[in-house]
Amino acid sequence: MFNLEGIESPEKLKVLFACYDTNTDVTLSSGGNSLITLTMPSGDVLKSSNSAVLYLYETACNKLLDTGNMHWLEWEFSQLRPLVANAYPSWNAKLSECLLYLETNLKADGIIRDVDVVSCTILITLSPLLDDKYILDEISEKFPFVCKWYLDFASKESFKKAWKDVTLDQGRVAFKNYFTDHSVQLKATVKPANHNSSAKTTTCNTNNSQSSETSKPLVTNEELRSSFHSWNSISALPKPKKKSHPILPVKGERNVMITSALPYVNNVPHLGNIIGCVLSADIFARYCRLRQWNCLYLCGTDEYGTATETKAVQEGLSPQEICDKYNKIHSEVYQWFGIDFDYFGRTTTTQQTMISQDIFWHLYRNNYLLQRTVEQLYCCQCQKFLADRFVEGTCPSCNYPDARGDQCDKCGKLINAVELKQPKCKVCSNTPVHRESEHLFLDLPKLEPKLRKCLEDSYKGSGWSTNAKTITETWLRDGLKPRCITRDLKWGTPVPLEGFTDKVFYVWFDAPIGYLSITANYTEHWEKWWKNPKHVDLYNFMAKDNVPFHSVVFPSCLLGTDDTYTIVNHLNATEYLNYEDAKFSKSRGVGVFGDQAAHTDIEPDIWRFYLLYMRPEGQDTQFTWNDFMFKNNSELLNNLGNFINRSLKFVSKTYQGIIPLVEITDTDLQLMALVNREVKGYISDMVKVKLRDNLKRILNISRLGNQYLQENQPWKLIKGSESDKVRAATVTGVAANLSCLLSVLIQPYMPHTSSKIQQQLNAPDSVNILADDAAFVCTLPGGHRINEPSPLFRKVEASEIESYRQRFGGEASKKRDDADKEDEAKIEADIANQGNVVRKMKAEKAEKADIDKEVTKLLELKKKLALSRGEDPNKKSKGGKKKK
Amino acid sequence: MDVHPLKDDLPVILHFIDKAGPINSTDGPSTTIIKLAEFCPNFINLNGKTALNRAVVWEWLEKRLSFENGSAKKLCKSIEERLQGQVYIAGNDFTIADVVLFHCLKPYFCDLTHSERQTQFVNSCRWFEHIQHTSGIMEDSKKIAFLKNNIYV
Repeated sequence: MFNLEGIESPEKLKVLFACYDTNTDVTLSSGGNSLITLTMPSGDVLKSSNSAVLYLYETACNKLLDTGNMHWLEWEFSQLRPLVANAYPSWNAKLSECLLYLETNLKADGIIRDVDVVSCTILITLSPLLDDKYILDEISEKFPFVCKWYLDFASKESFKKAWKDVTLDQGRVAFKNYFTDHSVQLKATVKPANHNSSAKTTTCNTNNSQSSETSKPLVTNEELRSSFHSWNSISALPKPKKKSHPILPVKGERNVMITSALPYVNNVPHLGNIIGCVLSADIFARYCRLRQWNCLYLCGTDEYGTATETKAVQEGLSPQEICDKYNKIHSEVYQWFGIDFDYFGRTTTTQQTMISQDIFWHLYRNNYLLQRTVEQLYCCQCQKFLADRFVEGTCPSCNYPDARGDQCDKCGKLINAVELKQPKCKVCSNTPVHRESEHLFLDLPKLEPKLRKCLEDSYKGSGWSTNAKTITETWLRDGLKPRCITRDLKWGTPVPLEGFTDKVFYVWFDAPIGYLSITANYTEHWEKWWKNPKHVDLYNFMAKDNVPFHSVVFPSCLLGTDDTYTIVNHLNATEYLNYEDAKFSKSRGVGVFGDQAAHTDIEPDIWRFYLLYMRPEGQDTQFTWNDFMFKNNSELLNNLGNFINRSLKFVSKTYQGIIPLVEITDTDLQLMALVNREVKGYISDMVKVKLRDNLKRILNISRLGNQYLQENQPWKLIKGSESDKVRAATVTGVAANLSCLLSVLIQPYMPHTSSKIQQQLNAPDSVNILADDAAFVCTLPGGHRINEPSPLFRKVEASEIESYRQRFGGEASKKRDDADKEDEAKIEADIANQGNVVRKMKAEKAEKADIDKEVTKLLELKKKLALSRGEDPNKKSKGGKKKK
Repeated sequence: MDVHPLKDDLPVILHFIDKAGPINSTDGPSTTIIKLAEFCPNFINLNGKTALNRAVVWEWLEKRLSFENGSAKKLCKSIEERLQGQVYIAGNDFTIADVVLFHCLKPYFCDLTHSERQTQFVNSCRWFEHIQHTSGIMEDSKKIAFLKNNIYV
């Protein structure tokens, strides 16, 4: 067993992280007379963090560090470490100069990224600064490579654990003593080196004052002044507008149209789908309404296509009936989650046909369509052309064995189904044959110059997520090819052109047009939104797999009409949310699906909170039940809920529910200045649609509130002298008003909780407003009467969490082996065939007894399927798959 | 002009390592030494034989980097402590750390009185005496004479 001794320092963190990362058993003790001491089982000691890290990795990997990389250890020790010590707790220009060297190196080859010892030593030295998200934000533009490297590193479990164990949950403040007590020793090590002239100017006695400051961030006098000013600016607040339908853009005002990718109708959405589009868009839409912008939030179900046809066959219903049924399920799920659409429509409407055909004719007349003969996959068994989604095989570019016919899930490339290696019909598993058919193509190469010009403008929109831009650029770089817009199907928007009338539009051509037709169903003035690019800002929310269709294909269609359509200005895409290390899977019963969430004891707002907290921005994230419990109990219950409840209870008990008069002092202004910093960040981050960061800002504000109460202790002051009593009143009044501010900021995220807080506060509706210069304002003046406070959140117990984990873990199905899965596919195919038989008989009005016989067969098959999936077959009503 | 911490003794060390290979201009002094020592023809494992040795060597090279003129006594004291019960800095094998620290502390050892040598720095003097007679270390400069009799203890 190793033992690690020393004060809380980045150096201790390095060694501890290296121990965890190499699975070395280690005990921790604090204090000691050296900075760090690593004592080995043999009794040998190491007193330098870099040496210890070097040793741990060398013994664990049984491999020497390449001497070339020793350079980075020396650089860290002699340049970086002293500069960090000088700069802490903030960033400075010298560090920027120094980091440029690192950034250049990362950009050039980035090999050091993969060297454990180097990552550990450099990034942990930077961690006391980069852990502060303001600093990280500030430098992320200048040093994208360093920041990316750090973020990847900081997301490692062993880092999180080491960080937690060393800082004891205090965050980077824990390193204060290290930087102050050892500053002389640390800074003395700044020595000039021949490769980094910038560091030469750093001497041992610069900036001593800065690192000896207290751990609280500094507040400038200017900030104090403006905080005081805003506190008293209640009269300057604009009045909220009443929302009245139909919402239409108004010239001279900010008009925002928000769309969420249209969910495909034949499935119940899971948590990943929900955070990927509708929920993210909802947060943003609610924020826009708080800002008093004219905001229209649209969504609807995407209903055409083969998948619907097949589903209909499976369930023995007509495609339209399937759409009706699932449209209702979708609406209910979203309603339960509190998604506040201005209109939730669908794509199977006459407006859809009219608008799609209109756009089609424009493209046709402008010569942007090509006619081509295509080889297509035809399944002799099922007697039809196979839609891309109904072919599976090996991806031609990355050899992933489970690629779908339209897109490979692994490399994300769009595939032409005939290019798939070893194609298989998804329904019957037979190998399809190639057959020819005439189709229409959108001439994307011809539209490319127009598209590029348009994207140049569009990219100026601040809401583009990095992945959306990257995916779009990759697409353009790989070269655009003509894309087929027609399909040999029945269930779709009919192609109006002579010779093609037996075909329908390919869903990717007509699904995005759904946005237009859904608007047209909402209001006859839909063109005011959609043909008004100068005055309307269009935000698209979706998961990353949908990006190319929204940034390349759909804009090209609109541009090809030569009409002035509103084209996306901000495209915000998420990565994927995984479920406990695995993918969500309906068939295997893994993960929580929208309709199931309502059957837990967890309220919609808590789901919303956690999904947003884990929003996959920048990289895939994971839904885990343990973390869910932890975040609920630590952040909602102990932080946010605790602060608000404490503040309100004090008003109600000590001041009989009437907010006392306040006399603001510098202490209160300090708090306000820090709160205002977060509010400012909230507003500016919303411009960039950084929804996840902003949720954390809200939690930061309530943390500040808790600290404020703890430091001022109004419950003690109230028993003191006259002046103490005035202080108690002031602290209480400020805390109550801070609760009100929190209720406004949290409104987009947790609408129900927000109104609960405002009900308890008896706050007027007029507080629900945010302006560009939003700040902490006294909205509830002395004399305002509040209602009876009650707890906002409840503790989630481990036993409850365990029961959910079991319920949604798909354990029963996990035991099944692959053979079972094949069986299942076969039964599914049988069901589809049997369904056909029954429907045919019904259509031919065969004898009832005969039909019943076939129906019994069908039901038997369905029972068999249910059993093989480990479900209770008797639970299901006929044709109903509502609750599985 | 800033003074490189190893500016004075780097040539001596390089001479000791006896390798006129190209030096990467972006490397710092410790890295340069480690790299060259790897190829030293006269000694094997100059950077340490085991993982522990190598880690200790690096620890002392770091100490050398942060050495300043005023801190010689402190460094000597930590060497004295280190050498209790072992022959060299990094255990019982001669390493590059011995060479580097020897050159760094040579002037200081010269100035020590016989009394200090025999009372406070017994181990380090034994070490120093030993290193200065190691071939290649001090061919061309004057060696320090140590008293053979322990007259102060």
